[in-house]
Amino acid sequence: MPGEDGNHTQEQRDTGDRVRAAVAALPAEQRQLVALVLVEGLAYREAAEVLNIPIGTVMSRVARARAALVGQLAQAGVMPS
Amino acid sequence: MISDTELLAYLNGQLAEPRMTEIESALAADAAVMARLEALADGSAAVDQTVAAAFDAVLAEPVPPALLAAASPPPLAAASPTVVDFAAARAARDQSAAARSPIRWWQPAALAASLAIGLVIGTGVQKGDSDALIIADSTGTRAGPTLAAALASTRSGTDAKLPGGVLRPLISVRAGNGDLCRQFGVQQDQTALVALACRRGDQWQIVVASSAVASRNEYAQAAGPGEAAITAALDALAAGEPLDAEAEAKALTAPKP
Repeated sequence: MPGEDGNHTQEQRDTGDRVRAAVAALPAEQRQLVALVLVEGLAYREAAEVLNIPIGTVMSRVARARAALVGQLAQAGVMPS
Repeated sequence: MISDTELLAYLNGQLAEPRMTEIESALAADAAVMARLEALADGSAAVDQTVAAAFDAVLAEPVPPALLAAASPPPLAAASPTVVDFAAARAARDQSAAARSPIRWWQPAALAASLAIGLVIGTGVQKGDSDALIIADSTGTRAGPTLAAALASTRSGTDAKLPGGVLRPLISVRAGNGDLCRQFGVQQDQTALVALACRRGDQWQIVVASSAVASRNEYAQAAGPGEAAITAALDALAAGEPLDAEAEAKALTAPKP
């Protein structure tokens, strides 16, 4: 963004890149739910309806995805563990 | 007994094994535990916000004007109503992809269909609508029936009318595994979509898709980041050279493998 501190923007971009790379490394079934629940903001129930899978499956996949992301991002220094 | 704290930790990905697996078993066995978990879920996990922010930045980022200027009009914009010059189209695509690289917008690693669809099409992925443009469900992400039929019958470089939009297939290729794949654009009122789909049986599985808000007929703008994504996906599929009109017609009518 014009007028914004260049380093700050670069740092934000690097963080974004790491986060997106971590998401990309997830198994497809988890990535799909990350997109729907974490990014699009669908409720678990809605995501379950969209994908026509049980809500328990949605929750466990989201939980697994979060666990993997927390681990990866902590390792990358993006998030505190 | 599983405490709320533990359930929340599980949901937020902060629980270690073997407890994680134990809770999963409890969830499967006990609907009451599942109900408690759902009640606890509030999407406030720190990791959620980090992920959402990372993708919000991507989605909000306009296509840099320099990239638009550098990109010669992709085959879609250049195509005449007849058959496009495939070799030239491929060359132009390679060239423009090179000119756009490196691109922050979409990293090749982030191009799995589910993610691309979930993120960029968003509202295009409709629940309970059997004739949505793109359908995402437990079997994957694929073209809806109308789009699938149009993909199976429309020659590259020609248009087909869809409800609420216009489809233009750009090229057909054979993937390394023999699948027939097509790159196409869909122009709708507010958005333009560029995507790559491969035929599996009767379905067209979406390999990658990207959309952008665009005013009418601004194919070139919509194709900016999507083109790079599709080029990367074609490489990943070990796709061959675009089929010529005759080979394409044959592939489209040939019995499915």
